[in-house]
Amino acid sequence: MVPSRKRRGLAEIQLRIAEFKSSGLSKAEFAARLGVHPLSMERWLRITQQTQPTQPPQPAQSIAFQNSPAFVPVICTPSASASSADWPESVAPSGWALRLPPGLDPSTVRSILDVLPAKRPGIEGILWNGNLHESPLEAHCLNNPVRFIDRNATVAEAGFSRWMVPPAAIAVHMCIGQIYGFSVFSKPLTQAVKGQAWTIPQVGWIYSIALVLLGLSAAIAGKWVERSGPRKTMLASAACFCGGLVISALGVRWHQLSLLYLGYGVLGGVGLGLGYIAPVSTLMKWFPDRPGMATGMAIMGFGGGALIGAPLGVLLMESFKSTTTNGVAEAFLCMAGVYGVCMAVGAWIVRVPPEDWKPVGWTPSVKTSAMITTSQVSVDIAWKTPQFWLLWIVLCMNVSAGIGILGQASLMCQEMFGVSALIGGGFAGLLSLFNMGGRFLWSSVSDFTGRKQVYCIYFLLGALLYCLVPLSQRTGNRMLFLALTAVIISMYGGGFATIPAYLRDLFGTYQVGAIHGRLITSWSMAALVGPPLVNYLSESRKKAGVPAAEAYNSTLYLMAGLLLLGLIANLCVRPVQARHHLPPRRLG
Amino acid sequence: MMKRLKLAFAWLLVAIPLTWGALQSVKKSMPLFTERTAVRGQ
Repeated sequence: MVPSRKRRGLAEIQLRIAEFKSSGLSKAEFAARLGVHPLSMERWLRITQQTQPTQPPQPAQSIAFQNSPAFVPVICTPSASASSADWPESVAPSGWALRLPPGLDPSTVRSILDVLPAKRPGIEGILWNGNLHESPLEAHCLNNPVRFIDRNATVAEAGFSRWMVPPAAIAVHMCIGQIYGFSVFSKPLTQAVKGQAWTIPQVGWIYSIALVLLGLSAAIAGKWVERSGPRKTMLASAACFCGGLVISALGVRWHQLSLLYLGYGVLGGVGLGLGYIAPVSTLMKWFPDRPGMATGMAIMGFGGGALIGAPLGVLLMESFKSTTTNGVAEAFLCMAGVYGVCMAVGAWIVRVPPEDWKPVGWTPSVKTSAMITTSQVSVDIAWKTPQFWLLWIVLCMNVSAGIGILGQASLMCQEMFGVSALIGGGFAGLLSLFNMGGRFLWSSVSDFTGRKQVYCIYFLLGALLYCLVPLSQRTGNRMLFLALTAVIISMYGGGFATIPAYLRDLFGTYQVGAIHGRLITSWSMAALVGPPLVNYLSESRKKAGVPAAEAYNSTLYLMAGLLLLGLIANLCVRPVQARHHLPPRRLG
Repeated sequence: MMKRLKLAFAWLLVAIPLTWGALQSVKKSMPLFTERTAVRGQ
């Protein structure tokens, strides 16, 4: 039996401290090597000074424990669920725990915990009410019952279907994906019912602030997300995102632009960042056999959020529009309510797998690939590796190139083929569909081809297709144009969805959510820099006298160039060096 | 039985809005295939 709460035992701490003393490194250096916070080292040193040295159980003792009904074997697996989030994940360490009767008084249990390891070497702690408690680190937990939002409360019970988790993840992503549909509010927000009207650039800052905060919050709160588990994070995301919509509604009502910056921009952006990374890392743990497909499902939900958010916003504004209001504030309030319920249901459904869980009938492949590690790298180490920054460039180039078309799809179609705004809008709508579908499709394909190979396809094929788009304009072949751009955008979506699985392959599942969070800053960067760059280039070409239909050609060649830069970065990705891996931990 | 119902509910929760959104997008893109005349001749 493996208890749901698992902690590193005192013996292991002493093992680490012994390693530290013989390493000749400083505390900070050794902490960095282990991927733990220096304060943890201080705490471990204090603990080892306070207790007698503990030896691993001798074979004779193990047999004695095994024969005693009071002792049960346990796997002490420090994990992200532990209160010390910087403890690496491992499945190897094993020890013994003393089983206590469930009805025992907590204070008695606590007093036993305080003396147990010193008296009985090799015992990791006690098993009480189904949880493993270890002295002295765990004693405080006895007085803090597990709450609904805690990570431990989300550990899946026996018989839980892992197919319940994708809808939970999609529910959250579908809601926060509304950010892509924000543009439908831009024009109504400039039509002030009272006070001085806001300008489009002023309103545009709301979207930009939200995207910047998305990247920042994901990067900063990544470790907290891993530690707190998906339910708490999803609820925090819902509170921030929906709270931001409510504050924005007040801002519209009172005609205070700063409230929109604070609400939709800052608070909503934090909600986006938290909600984006938590479900993705959870899904990867549930689908070790198909991580690409798993992340594709969640991130497809984000793309789908744009398809829902824009028409829903228009529908609500039209419903509430009157002579006294443009309907924006009411639409924000309604969306806050609907999205809040949807995200809460997602948080209620979500579960994390038990530590030793594997899909039924699945065994990890014995055929190893150099690009898929079985080791773990902590976020603090990972972001200092060249692999992290190469993937940062890969994502940044992929996003920048995709935005080149998505950002001005309607206008590009109108000017290149001389069609109406209605057809241009239809083109943009169709691209959104391919953007969503590509996220699931390409990411699933990466499970079979490998991540590096699939990114090579995105970049090589993408660059080639970008170069062919001007040809479709010259020949006036609208359907060719449509086919080329649809494939390009599907690969743009695929690039988004495949990156978490790529990170997992290189750095392992431990803290992959936090690493993903830090990588998302490249998205923020691309979203801020990409569109102005594309606009500037096409406008400058028009000013230089190039016909409007051909003004986009240079933009398209630029996009192809960006993709080739991404290809170079991708080709440079190598497996992470073993010195960055967290050391394997074994007791006894 | 209860587990299957829960699973169905969870998937419906996301499938219905996603399908609605996709249909809206398809509806929006229909002119791309139906409109034949160029309004701004090249």
